[in-house]
Formats: sequence, C-alpha cells, structure tokens
Amino acid sequence: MSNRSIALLLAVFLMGLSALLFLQTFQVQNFPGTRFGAEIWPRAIIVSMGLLSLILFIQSLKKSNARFNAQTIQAFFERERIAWSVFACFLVFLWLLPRLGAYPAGGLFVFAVLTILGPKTLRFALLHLGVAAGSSVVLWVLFSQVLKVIAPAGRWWALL
Amino acid sequence: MTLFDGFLLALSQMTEPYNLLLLGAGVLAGLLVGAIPGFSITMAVVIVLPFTYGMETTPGLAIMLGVMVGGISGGLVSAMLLGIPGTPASVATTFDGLPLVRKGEQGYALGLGLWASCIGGFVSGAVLFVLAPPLGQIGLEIGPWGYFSLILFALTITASLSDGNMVKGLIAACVGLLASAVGEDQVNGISRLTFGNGDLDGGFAYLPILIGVFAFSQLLSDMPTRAAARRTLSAEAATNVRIPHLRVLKQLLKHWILTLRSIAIGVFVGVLPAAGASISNLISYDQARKNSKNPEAFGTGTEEGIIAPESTNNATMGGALMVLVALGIPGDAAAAAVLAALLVHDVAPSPTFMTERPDVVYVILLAFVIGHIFVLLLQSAALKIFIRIVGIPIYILAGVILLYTGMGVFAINNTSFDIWTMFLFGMVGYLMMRLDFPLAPLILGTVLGPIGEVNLMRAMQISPDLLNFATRPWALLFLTMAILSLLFPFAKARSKSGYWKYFGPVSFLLLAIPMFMMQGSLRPIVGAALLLAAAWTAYRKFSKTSHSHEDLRHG
Repeated sequence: MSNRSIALLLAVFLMGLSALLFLQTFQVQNFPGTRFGAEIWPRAIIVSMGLLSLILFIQSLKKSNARFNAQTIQAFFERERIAWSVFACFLVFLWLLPRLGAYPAGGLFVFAVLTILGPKTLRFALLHLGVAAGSSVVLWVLFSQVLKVIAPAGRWWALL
Repeated sequence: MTLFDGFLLALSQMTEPYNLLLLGAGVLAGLLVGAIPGFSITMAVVIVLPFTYGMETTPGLAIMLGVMVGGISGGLVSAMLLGIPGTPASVATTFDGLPLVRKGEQGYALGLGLWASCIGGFVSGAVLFVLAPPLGQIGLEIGPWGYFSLILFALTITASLSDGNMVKGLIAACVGLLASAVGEDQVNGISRLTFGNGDLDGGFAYLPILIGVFAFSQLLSDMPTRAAARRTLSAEAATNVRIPHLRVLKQLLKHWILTLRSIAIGVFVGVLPAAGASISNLISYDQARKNSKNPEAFGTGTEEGIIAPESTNNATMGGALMVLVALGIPGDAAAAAVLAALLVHDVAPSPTFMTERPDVVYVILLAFVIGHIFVLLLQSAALKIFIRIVGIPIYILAGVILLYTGMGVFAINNTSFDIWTMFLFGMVGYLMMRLDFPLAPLILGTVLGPIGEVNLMRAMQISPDLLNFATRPWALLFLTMAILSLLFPFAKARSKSGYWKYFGPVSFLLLAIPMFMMQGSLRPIVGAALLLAAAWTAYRKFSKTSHSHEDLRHG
C-alpha cells in the first residue's frame, strides 16, 4: 500500500458515489407543472462533487508510490483499532438503547470504552465501573430529573 | 419595535439576576472546556447546548454566549501553563506565553492574556453595537441572488483556506451540502436521495451531524495510541497563581496601539466568512512582531507576543457574531455551532433579523460584552477546577463525553434517529479527518445548504435569467470574491512568477466594479479607494520587477 494507491482508491470511491447519487436523483417525483424540480439542487452538487473527484484522481497520479514501512503500518493499525473499537461500542450502545434503556445502556457503553482503552488491572476495572455507574446516575439526574427528557426506558425483559 | 426599544428590553432582561447567573455559568463552562487541549469552542458549545433545551430564549442565549466567550478565553490557560493551546485560537499565545510562565511569571502572563482578551471582546462588542444595524440594512439589499453568491463565497473561501488540498476542501463542502439535501426539499416538500427509506424523508438534522463530526473526530484524534489515551496533563505549577492586575493594566496601556491594531485585525478577519480566530491570532502575532521595536524578543516571553493574539481572538468572535446576526451566515464551525444554539431557541438570524427582533439581537450583543466581565471574575475559580480536570486521563473524559453528547443529541427531538445520525456522521467525519479532508467546509455546507437552495430557487422563480448574478452588484461582488478565493491558493504558490504577481492589483480592480454599480455615495468612494489600491499595488509590483531586471543587467 502507498499514498498514491490510497488517494486513487478514494477518488474512485467518490466518483462511484457521485454516479450512484446522480442515478438516485432520477427517482425524484415532482408535482406536475413544477418549474424547478427537487432534483436540480442535489444534481448540481453531485456533478460538482464528481468533477472534483476527477481532479482528485488526476492529482493522485502525481503522488509518490513509495510503500509504507512496517512501523507506519503498525501505528496506523493501532490508531484504527482504537477508533473502530469506540465506534463498535457506540453501535452496541445504539442497539441496546431501546432494549435496556438509555441509562443502563449508557453505563455499559462507558464501561466498555474505558475497559478497552484503559489499563487492564483490577484496580482500574473497579475505577471504570465506578465512573460508568456514576455517569449513568449523573445523566439520569440531569436529563430525566432536571431537563425532563423522556429517555428510552427499554424493554429488557424482551431479551430474556 | 424600534432598535432603541429593543435595546432597552434586552438590557432589562440581561440585567436580571437569573440571566446573569446563567451567563456566568456559561462563561465558567466555556473557560473549562476551552482550557482542555483538543476541546475547541465548538466542543464547548456542543457540550453545554443540551442544558439549554428547556430554557426560554434569553436565558438560553445568555448561557450559550457565555460558553462562546469563556471558550475562546479559556484556550489561553492551557496555552500558557501547559504550552498546548486549548483551542486553535490560542496557538500564537503559546509562543510567548509559555516562555514567560517558565520565567516564573505565571500570574503576570495569565493576567496579560486575560485582560487583552477582555479588552478585545469589549472593543469588538462596541464595534458590534455600532456596525450591526447598518450591516443589517445591507442584508436587506442583498436579495436572493446576492445571498446565494455569498453562500458560495463562504464555502469556497473555507475550502481555499483549509490547510493543504483545496480540492478536498471543496469535496468536503459538497458532502455537507449533500447531507443537507437528503429528504424533503425546502421549496416543494418532495423527497429525494432517500433510497426509498421513509425515515430519511425528514432529512438529517444538522445539530447531530455537527456533534457527530466534532465529538468523534476530535476525541479520537486526541487518542492516536493507548499511551496517549491514558495520559494526563499536569499543571501543578499553577496551583497558586495571583494576577498583578495593576501591573498588567499599565503594560496594556503602554501597548495601546498594538492592542487596537490587533483588535482591528480580529474584527476584520471575523467578518470574513471562514477566516476565524485560528487564523487571526497568527496574523496578529506576525503583525505585532513586524511592527515591534524588539522583534528579536518575540518567542522569549515578551508581553507584546501575548497581548496581540489574545486581544485578536476575542475580537474575531465579535466580528463573526456581527455577520451572524446581520446576515445569518456563520463564519466558521464555531459560529455554526452558535447558530445551531440559536435555532434550538427558535431564533433564526437572517437579513431581516435586526429589524424584526432587535431585542434578541441586543440580548446577543449584551451577553457577549457582559460575558467578558465574567471572564475576569471567574478565571481564578476556573483555574482551580481546570487543574483537577487535566488530571483525569483523556480516555475517561472521552468515554463520558461521548455518552453525554449522545444523550444530548437524543434530547433535541426525543428520537433515537438523531443519535444514529450522530454515529453515522461521526464515522464520516473521522474517515474524512484521517484522509486529510478539512471538516469546517463539511459543517458549513450542512448549515448553509438549505439557505443556499431556498435562495437559488427564489432567484430562479423571480427570473430564470442567470445574468442577474452579473448585473446585481451584491451578487457580482460575492461571485467575484468566490472566484478570487478559488484562485488565491494558486496565486499564493506562484506569487513571484509571471502574471500571478499581479493577482492582488487585479483583485482590487475586480472588486471595485460592483462597488461602482451600487447606490449611494459611500460605496462608489470605497470603489475609488479600491481602484487606487489596485494602481498602487500594481505600481509597486512593476517597479520591483524593473529594479530586479536592472540589477541583473548591471551584474
């Protein structure tokens, strides 16, 4: 893998996305007699994006084709592992939200993120548990009691 | 309601103890979030916004404006004590702030920054009071053609000022515009780009997009490795800081020209779309060094190096607010976050905002000015809490903040769809950040997309003739500025070669044309001044070139 190949892949992806979205604008059903249809604005943006992606593609051809060294690749994967672990935790939180309710799901999310990113010792596990429980309680007080937000209550019994 | 009635009403509201208390709380929150390295003013607004959902307009605005003012002032604390700017607006403050702190002058350094910030805020607030009404009148003249061109200019200049690749900046703006185009259109209410998914008919609300993009990308960029995620930022040296106010004020009085010049730079940059405090503080520092009697002292802990950027960054916010209240156009991502806060409270800035809701406009202006007094009063309290917060590892802050912002997003419309939007755009924002796309054009595209579409359609329905963009002076002015902003990176890269060195004079010349097309007497005078500037800069470039040719000829 090199900088050039990443840039080329990106440009091709953006051109493909533009083409897909452009095709989608033909599905717009305007009212009869509409002077300027609802597809005009997105179409103008999509065409601009397609052209810019083409320029990006041409620019990418001039980039260096030197391959990344092992150290760069290792740092890249560590960074991505952290980021995507957080995203995965958030996805699980979203899945649990209507099932467990906002505050238990939120507490689990905080605990999971802290456990993944923090030191893995008993002392820190207890600290993470405390932070997660504390966050849930503070959130409940703040949103449900102070701001009067009706947070998802959950149907945890449906999981049984 | 006249402007004066509006001012009196706003003054009575803003002097109520409850609103003052909320303004103070907002300032304190802004000071704390702004002081944490990596957490920008946008982040501060995003974190505090959910608190204000249930509030009336004035208290809600008081707290949000407080966050804004506190956020920009808070950045100087970590810039000086840790050498890490709390916000991009305080980058230049580290150059001389940290050396002065290392000389053992923590209180003096902090005091200089604080007072310079507050004076910058006060003066720009005064400018705001004077210039916002006439700017609001101009807003009424612009019309849909001019408005659409202004939005185009805001997007192109944001992309061209983005670090690195302008093409990527423009693509990011397109992504933002497309995100705002999903769902029912603004004019006819027809669905588009939904791929048949009924949930998307309502489109994406832009606050979840903004929060997703900033919360995820910023927090994740602060944790590139596990070791970085677990680090704490210690500021133990600053536990007992006393500010020598009298000494600081004497120093500021000594450098009053520098302070005023820095404020002028700040207001000017703030008025320009896209060019926020992250740029103005560096320009101001550079100008201070060039005009200083001791330029070699810069970087060693000189007072001028602190006064210049700190008075500028707060003044920039005043300039950005001016454009926001007068035209409804946010200058940068931080102003977009403030606009989001205004919309949550049913306040939608537009060209008619000044005449329709002068009371709300003056609440904003008064909150901005009074907020700076709170900055001075609350800095010591904020410093004590700040020292405790920076002792918490970043990964703990990140986990708790992500949950908190997720719930905050849910509370906007009480729907989980908004948290999904935040998640989706969090990933989009993170990927774009990793692939070196600037995020500010994405946010501005999302905010400005609907306004742009409505104005374009309105213009086309009045007259489909595209020549209107060239024959209407405001439209022509902003279109010219948009084109020049696209050419600017090329001109900057080739400023010494060929015809590109005449980019400056030609720009002045082109900008003079619409000024002569405008009514009244002041604008043609501005046009004439631009022509003179064009002639002068062209003469200087030309004489420089002929001198260098002569030098070459004489060996």
